[in-house]
Amino acid sequence: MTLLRVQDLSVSFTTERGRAGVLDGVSFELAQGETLGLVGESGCGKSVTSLAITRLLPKPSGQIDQGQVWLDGVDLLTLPASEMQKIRGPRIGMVFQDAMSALNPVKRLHVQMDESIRLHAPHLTRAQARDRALELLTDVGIPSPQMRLNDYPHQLSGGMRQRVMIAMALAGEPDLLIADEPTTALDVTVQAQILMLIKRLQAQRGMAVIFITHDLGVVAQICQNVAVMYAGRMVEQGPVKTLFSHPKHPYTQGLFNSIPHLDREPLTPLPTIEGLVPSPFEMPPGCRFAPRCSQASERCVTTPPLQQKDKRTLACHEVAL
Amino acid sequence: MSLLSVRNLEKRFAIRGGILRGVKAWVRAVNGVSFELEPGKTLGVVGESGCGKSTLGRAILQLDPPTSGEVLFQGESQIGRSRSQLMPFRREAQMVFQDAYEALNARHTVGRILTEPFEIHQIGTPDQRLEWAAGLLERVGLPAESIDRYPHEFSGGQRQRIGIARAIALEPQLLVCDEPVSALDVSVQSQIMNLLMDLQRERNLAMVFIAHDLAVVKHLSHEIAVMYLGSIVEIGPAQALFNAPKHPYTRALLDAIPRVDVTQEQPLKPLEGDVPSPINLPSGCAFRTRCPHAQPSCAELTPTLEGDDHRVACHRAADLSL
Repeated sequence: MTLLRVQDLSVSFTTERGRAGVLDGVSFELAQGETLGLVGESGCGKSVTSLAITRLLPKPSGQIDQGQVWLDGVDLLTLPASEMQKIRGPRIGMVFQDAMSALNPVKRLHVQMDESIRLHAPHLTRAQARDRALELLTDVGIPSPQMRLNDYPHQLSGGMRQRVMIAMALAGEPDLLIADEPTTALDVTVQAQILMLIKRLQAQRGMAVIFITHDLGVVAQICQNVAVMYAGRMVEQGPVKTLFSHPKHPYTQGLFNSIPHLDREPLTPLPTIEGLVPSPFEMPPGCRFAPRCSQASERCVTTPPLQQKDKRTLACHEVAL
Repeated sequence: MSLLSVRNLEKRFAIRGGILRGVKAWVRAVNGVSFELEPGKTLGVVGESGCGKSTLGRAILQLDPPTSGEVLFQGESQIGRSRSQLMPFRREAQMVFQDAYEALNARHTVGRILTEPFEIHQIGTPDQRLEWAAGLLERVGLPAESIDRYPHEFSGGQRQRIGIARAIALEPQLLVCDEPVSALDVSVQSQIMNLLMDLQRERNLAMVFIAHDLAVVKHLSHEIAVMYLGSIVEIGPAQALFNAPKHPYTRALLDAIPRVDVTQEQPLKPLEGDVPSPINLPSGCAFRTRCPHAQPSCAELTPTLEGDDHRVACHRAADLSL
């Protein structure tokens, strides 16, 4: 069953240099219990997508120009702010890249956890909330949680802080967890621990997850479906198994080719994607990847059609799905 | 003769406290590191944050003078030298930093940034220096008009090109690159890696390439050193180290990389626990607290690097098949 449907979502930011369109007509769907990887390079709009869904865009600069975000048949973008407050936490939990700045540095963990637990369950007593916090910390694999509850965030390692963030996001028992680069700042062995943790929690709780990352390897490990973004648009979507074994969009192919993975012949030139990502103030007309695309033709100056087949979508003039 | 010999290098930082600011403890950031580097070759240094790989790079170049040990460049010791005595070494050994934006003076034009090395070493006339700067820009793939611009006008990848242009200005024989591509997007990362490999071939540059990304290091390196808590636990030819790792930590690092290949099921095998504090190193083998193969005896003796080309510091190396 569909849990989340994002339709034709466009977002712009007002800056000193004028208006910058950062998302343009983004659409995707997420079923209950599904994990969707949202990938792309910096500035492609993957984080803005999650901020728009949760209505946490910075105000007044960020603005949703059009589109709908349906969560179980309710358009989140039309809800009053007070109703939206009840969605964040119990329905949608969030985990960010930088756990240190997401946690309050001058409050002990039990105070912060108490806040997020009792915000959504005000009937709990302080002692009950503490029990719940212990339960959550145990669940995310924090050793000796009783001792940890009295710690300040700086006393924890990066991996432990990220576990605490995940525990707090789970406090509301959300149906959807949005994780924005949760492992990017972590070492590879700790990243593996956190990825396995998210995978286990998801299976246990039947949660849907949107996993935002620039790392295709992470997507291959934990996602069923993937959506590739470029310069504010979706270029390609589909099941990880088929999309990763046969990427179709020239941008997706370029991404895969330029990764220095372990099986590649060492000390040989890596294929590259020439040129730079366009500035949000000067987006090229039509296909936004066309100026860097080796397969571009004259028809690429118009917006590419959306092709659909076998659970996959592709926005390209030149390549058939 | 090796271009660079590093012997038993140590770098300790004092932790001070109390009213008299006395030394309360030592952070052993680099703990007895030795290796040799030949001209035209790259030594990749991998390890997780806090393993001492960046400190090692800075200690080699005498940016943070080592506490003990030896750094020989073309057979000459660079330890304990004054600023002026270090000038010839500084001309031959340059650094590329992770964050090019912080490493470049934001208030100087690219022209000034690239002519400064010649000024410091009193090479050429102002006109010649500008001409050379233009040549450097062209070499690293930036347009000539960049010369009048400021660092903030460039993207991350372009700034790293400027950082590389500055590093190669004096035609050094050694580059120490500290995470030069880790802040870049993959499509830009591959451009910068190609540039570094081209420059190495052209100029027979030796490189110490420090990074946490094993795939990046493997692609660029002839030899690889794996560091854990300030020490090299395994060092060897890149292919051999990846195809047949001998240290349980190297194995764990390789098993933790999320592979892109979806045709083979390769579940991640995370290593348990966190890296211990470098202030109180575990006795014996520093990795034993996280090692799946540790035995009580591993707590007694500190293992040393053993072997010929491919060396490993593990008591159990002989009886493990990893």
